Amino acid sequence: MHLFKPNKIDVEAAFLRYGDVLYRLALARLGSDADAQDAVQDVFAKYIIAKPKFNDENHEKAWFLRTMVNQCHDMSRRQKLRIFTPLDDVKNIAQDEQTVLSDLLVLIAQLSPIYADVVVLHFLEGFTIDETANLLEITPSAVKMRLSRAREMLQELRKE
Amino acid sequence: MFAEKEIIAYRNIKAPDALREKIIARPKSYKKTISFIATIAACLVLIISGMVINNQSNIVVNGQKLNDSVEFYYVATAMERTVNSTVVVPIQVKAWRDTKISVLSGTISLENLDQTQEVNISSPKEILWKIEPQDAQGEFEMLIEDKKGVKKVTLKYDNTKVTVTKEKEK
Repeated sequence: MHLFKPNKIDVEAAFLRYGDVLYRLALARLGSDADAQDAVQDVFAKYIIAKPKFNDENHEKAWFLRTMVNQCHDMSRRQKLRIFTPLDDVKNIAQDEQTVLSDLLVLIAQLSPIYADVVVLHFLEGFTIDETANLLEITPSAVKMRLSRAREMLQELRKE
Repeated sequence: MFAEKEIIAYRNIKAPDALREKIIARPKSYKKTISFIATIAACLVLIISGMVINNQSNIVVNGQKLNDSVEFYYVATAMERTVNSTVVVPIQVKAWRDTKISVLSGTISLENLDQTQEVNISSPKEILWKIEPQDAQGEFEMLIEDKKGVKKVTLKYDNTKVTVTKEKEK
């Protein structure tokens, strides 16, 4: 069932707080501006429908990020081929950063989802090990193990 | 793991303005082209009471009593947009006497039965109303007829906005 009456003020405030981080997380994981925008819209649709209650801002942030991680997993599974949109089509990225970002996103795309998640959240977004573990609902030691493995894989990929 | 310039470039990524507009814009300006394939499972709950006060039926749509009209909004998920262009609207009708339900646009069916344009019920049932958004200029009619009279329910679908209107009994 998808019936709702959106509270415009809540949605706008939430987008101002989390829109950017959600979008770039989706872009890093899905590799396409169109898919990233779809993912963000779907997360906000879930927010509007579920109208979750939050204890505090950390709780709210975790909800949005966790929902986006799961959304990316779902969309990744449905993609038969990874599709990349050249970043020069993405107007909100500075031209001089497009090459750097393109190379970065290609690297991340070659990681399996469980490694891509920890890499993006910890190294790129700057969440601590514990925060990353909380967002992904895994143990801190699992995060460390995945980061270690991801580091090895990225080093190999960069050599190619 | 990553060079500082990579991390800076990544954190400089901003959500597009167009995305912001889509998410926070007022519903009447929320644009979704028909070329997107959509399947909507919006649930309308119509309760037609056989025991009415003042000889008027109570109709409830989406938890709201339908006096004149009820509006609500729906956003299709990306997956739903890719499935097909048919809109399927489940309607629960609580009837306590013989009631004929017919549609002028789209088709209806009781669960597990074939699609048709008319069904007869005499107890509470869920009806699936299947419509094509691009048909009938986004406006669809249902007639609910029993011994008391005929009620016309109009559903208008305009991108995300759904409006259900009850017309006066004939």
